[in-house]
Amino acid sequence: MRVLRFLDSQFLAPAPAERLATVRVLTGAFAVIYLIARANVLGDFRVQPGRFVGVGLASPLSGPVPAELQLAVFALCVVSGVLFTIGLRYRITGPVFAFLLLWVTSYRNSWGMVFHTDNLLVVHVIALAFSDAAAELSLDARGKTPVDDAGRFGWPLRLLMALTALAYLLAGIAKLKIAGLSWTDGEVLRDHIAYDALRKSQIGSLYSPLAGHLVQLDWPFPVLSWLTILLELGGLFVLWSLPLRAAWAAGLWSFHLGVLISMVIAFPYPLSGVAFAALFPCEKLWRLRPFRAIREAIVRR
Amino acid sequence: MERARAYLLSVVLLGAVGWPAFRAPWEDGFPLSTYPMFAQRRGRVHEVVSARAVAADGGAELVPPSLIANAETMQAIRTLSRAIRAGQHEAERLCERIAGRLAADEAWRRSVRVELVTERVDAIDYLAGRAEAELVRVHARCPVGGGEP
Repeated sequence: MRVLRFLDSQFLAPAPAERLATVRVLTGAFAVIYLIARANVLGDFRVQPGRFVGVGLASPLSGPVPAELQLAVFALCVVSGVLFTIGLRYRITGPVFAFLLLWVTSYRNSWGMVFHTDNLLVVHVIALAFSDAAAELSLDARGKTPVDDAGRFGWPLRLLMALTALAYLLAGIAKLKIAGLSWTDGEVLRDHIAYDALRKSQIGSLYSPLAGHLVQLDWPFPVLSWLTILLELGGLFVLWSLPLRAAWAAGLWSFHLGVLISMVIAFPYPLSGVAFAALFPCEKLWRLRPFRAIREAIVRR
Repeated sequence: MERARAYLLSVVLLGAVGWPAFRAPWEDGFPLSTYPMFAQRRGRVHEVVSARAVAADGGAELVPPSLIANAETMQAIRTLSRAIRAGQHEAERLCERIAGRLAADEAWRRSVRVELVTERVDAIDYLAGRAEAELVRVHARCPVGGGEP
């Protein structure tokens, strides 16, 4: 019983409604921009990019759906993403957007290549969709009195933090399972950067101009490998403290920047910073001048 | 009620996202992933696949990802690798698809044939300019438009 009381006091501790709502607005806005910016590969399948092997929600399919139908579902996903972001009829539009985003990203990953760029975004949207993330900063909340801090706004934030930490933990576990602690000797990382640049150069694609120089050096790779493993395995141990969370998020952001610079592989969600919004009192964002007007336009009581 | 919702959703989501940790790391999926990228030892020497557009004078250019699969480089590499691994028939089918796209693209009209090839190379030496790629095998060869195969 004492353990349960402790768990309740930590996990269900009150948090401001505006913090959770801010995470919803940021995540929704990111998702909509991402969907539109990547519409050519997320929504347009007039040219099939490979052989269809359904994953995720698309697993039951034995073959692709008509390209026009997929485009229509994609368009619906964008529209529901906008409604998710502005918080209109959120109890319906939240889960609908989560479902459609899962469908769109599943379908995109069903052509023989499983990407790892969308996973965290999708699980964050699912967690937000089934929480009270539109009790503030939403059209649903317009004209209503502001709500007090409550546990129902706290646990979704802690769930998002735990999901983020868990995703990186899995990446660390995979490295240790496959290569063991020898992954940290630096050779694996160096060979990956070299291999990535090589195969991209052999397919006439953009590859990092830095990679060729970087892989000629030995010394950076053991350091970078250790840092990677520590960041990936360390998430669950830092969630209880804001300064530690900030250091962890900064480390992960730098890690993704390094991946972008050395391999031209972009993980847009963490690189945008939005993936880490739940780790911080992000509602303070609205105090900044450019965002204040947006907040006033949404809230208008 | 709120407490039950909080714990139920958390257990379901954390359980689902954490579950791949108990699978073999190469059994990847979406959205529940083992995140195996960058995990395995690769070594320095690799066999890499590419699609080449060959002109009548014998000059060859690499076919870009957008004409192999779509705008995503990794998707194009995977599409090429899978077709080659699947054998002669699949490689030829992909070769013909690429040739069809080249024929329809004004910028590639000089090309007379497409080749899907594997080359072997030491990645670190190659990137330093100390080594060249060495042709291992031509998997498929097909004409572009009215070109010679």
